[in-house]
This record gives sequence, structure tokens and C-alpha cells, in this order.
Amino acid sequence: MHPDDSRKPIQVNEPSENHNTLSKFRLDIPVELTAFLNSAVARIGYLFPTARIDARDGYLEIGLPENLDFDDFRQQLFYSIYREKIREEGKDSRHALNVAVFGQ
Amino acid sequence: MKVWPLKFREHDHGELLFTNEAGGFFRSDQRFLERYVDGILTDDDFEFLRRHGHAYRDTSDAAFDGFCGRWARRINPVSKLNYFILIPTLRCNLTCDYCQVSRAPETASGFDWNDEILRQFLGSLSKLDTETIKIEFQGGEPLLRLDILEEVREFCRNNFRQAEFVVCTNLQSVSEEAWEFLGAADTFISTSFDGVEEVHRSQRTKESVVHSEFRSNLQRAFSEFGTAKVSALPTLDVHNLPDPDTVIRSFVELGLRSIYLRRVNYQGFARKRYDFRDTQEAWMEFYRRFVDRLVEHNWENDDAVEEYYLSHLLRRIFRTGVQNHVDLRNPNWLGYDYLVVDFDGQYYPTDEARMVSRIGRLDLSIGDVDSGIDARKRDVLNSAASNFEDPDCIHCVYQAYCGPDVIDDLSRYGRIDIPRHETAHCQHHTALFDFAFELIYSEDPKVQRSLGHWLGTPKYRTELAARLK
Ligand code: SF4
Repeated sequence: MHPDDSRKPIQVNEPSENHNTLSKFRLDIPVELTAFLNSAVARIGYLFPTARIDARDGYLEIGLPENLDFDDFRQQLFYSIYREKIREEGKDSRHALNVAVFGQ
Repeated sequence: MKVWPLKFREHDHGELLFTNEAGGFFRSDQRFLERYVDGILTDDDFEFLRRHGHAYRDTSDAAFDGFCGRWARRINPVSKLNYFILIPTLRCNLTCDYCQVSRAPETASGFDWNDEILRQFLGSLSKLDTETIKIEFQGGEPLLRLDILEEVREFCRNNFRQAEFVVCTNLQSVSEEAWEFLGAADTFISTSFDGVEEVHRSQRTKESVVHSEFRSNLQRAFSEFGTAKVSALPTLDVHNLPDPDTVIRSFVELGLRSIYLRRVNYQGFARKRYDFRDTQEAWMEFYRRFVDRLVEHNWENDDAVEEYYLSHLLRRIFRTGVQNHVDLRNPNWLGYDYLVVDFDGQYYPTDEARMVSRIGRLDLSIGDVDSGIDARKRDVLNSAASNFEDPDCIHCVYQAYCGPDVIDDLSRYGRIDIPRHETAHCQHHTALFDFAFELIYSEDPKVQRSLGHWLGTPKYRTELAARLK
């Protein structure tokens, strides 16, 4: 998948007010990033405590209060997923570093 | 080719700052981030990353060893105890607005070291496994107990190969004996000067007679001993910030080239009097303005002036092994290489810990001169001494340059496990590092000239501010 395509939600609904005054969005997550979703969502959850994020199969259901912009939020969410991916994939290098410096 | 894990953060003009865990950094854009995350880096990307120390072929590669060396040198090792901050008396002859917790009235009793504490402290010094020692006399006003200062200094001179002393004095009332004590080659003076006469008077000396005494002692200190022996620090109230140019001018007139801007400390009774909430923005606005004026000053004058903490951050960004500021190290080991000994003989890991304990909010003492270090309490405090595994810091682009401040977290929030970005320490350092990197990537020749001075290099090399296009 082209990187630009992979970052775009396949379907983003127009903001709609629900009874809890959260605007709801659906955000599709590229399959190659879903492995990092749980930790990213946990982190985003406390960075944006007023947002509601429910992980579904391959996509997220997101509820945002008025003061949170969806595009900014999506950007931060993807950054969070990237960070988890980078950290996970850096494990071997970090292990090699620890062995080289501390011998363990 | 393997790329060392990169952290990133949005910076100016849509660019992203990338750093690795050994402190290497560069700026690039969103497209690079996506190539990196998707594992489709180009040959040019790899070439850039390898050239700048962000990639290696395998563990036998010199690039791997280089990274390991840089990373290891950023780790603050546990060092031998050789630095004490002593509070021989809590009594003071001034009543500075924000200092109630650190002082008792000049005539009060029960706030000085007694003979037993002095004897026990000197006894503990003789058991130290070090040849060098540094003693900082604080207070209260330490010159009120010149006798204790003399005895400690004499003991250290006789028992250590190298000894250095700093007297943190308000220079309010200095006897001829005290001037003689301060004149010794191994003894240094650190005093408070708030940069603007009126501010200093309103915060500290209050009356003009008292202020003139301080002024004349300050002049005498600088003219007799010079800036190699005397330093002065301003403490600024964020609600009453001075004009940066006036502060710079006052320090330059005294011959000082380093100004350490400090805010009124949050701990102590001061927190009841000063509102610290929502002041971060005002402080950073002032701080940036101050540094802008320093840059102008340095452009027009040969004798460059620095803001001490900014220079320290810049050095931590560009160099490894810069561990000389006890407030910003990683790990920031508490109660190992330096200790505070209060007027009652209690040990504290930092002066802030002493003040938090004084107001009865928490007891952060870690032993005393009689029974020694309480290793269990010290271990508990050190359980979060590093940012290596902090769930927020591990993703932070500034992790390699930053360090935790457990005591500040405890003092403000009573706990250490709240999200980093909600802590004052993190918010403040994020803002400072953002600013430092703005300067590093500035194309303004005036800024670059100042950067050269602050980093101690003849000329700032712009290629240090790498960009992957
Ligand atoms: S305390 Fe804040 S600025 Fe410092 S490394 Fe941690 S997250 Fe980054």
C-alpha cells in the first residue's frame, strides 16, 4: 500500500452529534499497523482523556468532544501507533546495545 | 542496514525533529517518517542515516560501537559521595519573600548545629572513600556561624587531598573575620542578586539602609575577589518579571558573563503566597525574550553572556557526559554523590527534599549524621531515578538529553506516577528543549554567533543542525 494511502482512514463519517455531545468517527487502520493498536490506544486514551476510543476489528470508533479536531486527533493517533511500532521493531537493536554496554 | 530506533516530534514549518537514544538528531519531513515506518527507506536515506550515526550494518560495524559509546557516556554513573550542602544554621538576618521555609529569625534558638552534630558530621567525613571534597555552606545565613564554617573547612583541608568550599551568603552583614574567611583561595562566594535594584530591594533587603549595605558588600566582593570567585544568581517572581536588558546590564557591570534565571521555588511556604499555576507560559515568554536580548547583546559586544541553564541544555544536546548539573541527569541518583545536612543533622537527597519535608508534607529525609544513610528509603526514592523505562519518556524525542525529577513530582503531586506531560518538570523541559532546537536550527547569524559562544566553540557549524531532505 502506498504510504499516503495507508495513513488515510478508508471511511470517515461526517461529524454528528450524539446524546453525549461527542462527535463520532470511524477510522480504519491499515492491517500492518493493527498489531500496535492496543498500546497506542492505551496511550492516546490518557493523552486525550475526554475522547472515546473503541477498538473494533480493523477500525476504531472514535468519539470526540467539540474542542478536539478530528484531523489533529487522527494525526496524533497515527503518531502514537508509529511510536509503538518503532519501539517494538527496535527491540533487537536495544538488546544488542545492552549486551554491548552492560554484557547482558 | 539497521536504523537505531528514532523518536520524533513536530517542529517548525511542518518539519519533524528526529532523535536517537544516544542523542543524535536531525530534521526531516512527514514523507521520511512514513518511509521509515513502512520500512521503505531509500539508499539516500540510509546513506544519510549512516553518515549521521543513526544506522549500522551489524554489531561488528564501527558505527555500532560508536553509538554504544555515545549512549553509554550519556548515562550518569553512581559516583562516590564527595559533595555536601550544609545548613549550619537556619537563622537569617533577612526575610526574603519566598524563603520562609529555609529560615528562622536571627535571634531564634534551636536552629543551629550543636557541637554533637558538628562532631558526628566530621566523623562521617573521615569515613568517606574519596580524596576530594566539595562543601557548600547554605542556610539561613551561614556567615552567622562562621565558627562552624572554619572548623569544617579546617577539617577538610587536613583530611582530603583537595577541598573546595562555597559560601552561599546574602552578603548582608559581613564582618572583617568573614571577609578574611571568604578570601581564601579554596573558598568561593555564591550570592543572590535579583538583577534589578528595585526588585532585589522589594523581594529581599526591603529598607534602603539595608539595601545599601548589601550593595556595598556586593561591590567589595567583586572588586576584591573577582568573578572567578564570586557568582550571583537572580530569583525572579513570574508575576513581577524585570526588564531583560536591565538584568543583563546589571550582571555585565559586575563582570558576570553567566546568568542563571531561576523562578521562585515552588516548594516551601512560598507556594501559599505565589500562584504557580498557569505561570509556565508567562515564564517561557519572558525566557525567550531574555534570550533574544542576550543574542542581541552578544552580537554587539565582544564579551558574550549566557543564560546558564540554556547553555547546559545545549551542551547536553551536543555532547555526552555532561552531568555537572544535579537537577538534570539521567539517571538522577539521589543520596549518592551529594547530600544535604540540615540544621538538625538530618540528611536529605536535595535541598528541595529538605524544604518539602520542612513543611511537613512528606518526610524525604534519608538518615542523619548519627545513624548514617537510611539505605531503604534511598532505594525507594531511586526506584524511578531514570527515564529509561518511563512509559512517556520512552517515546519522547528529548529523552536522551532530559532526566527525571522525582523530588519535584513528589513535592507538587505527592506521587511520581502521573503522566509525564502533566508534570511541571516535563512541561517546562519540553518547552526549553523546543526552544533550544529552534535556536539550533535558526538561520539567523546573530543566533549562530551566540550558539558558538554558549557551546564554547569559536564558530557554530551549521552542519551540526542536520536535515534529511
Ligand atoms: S520528562 Fe518530559 S521532556 Fe523529559 S524525557 Fe520525559 S517526556 Fe521528555
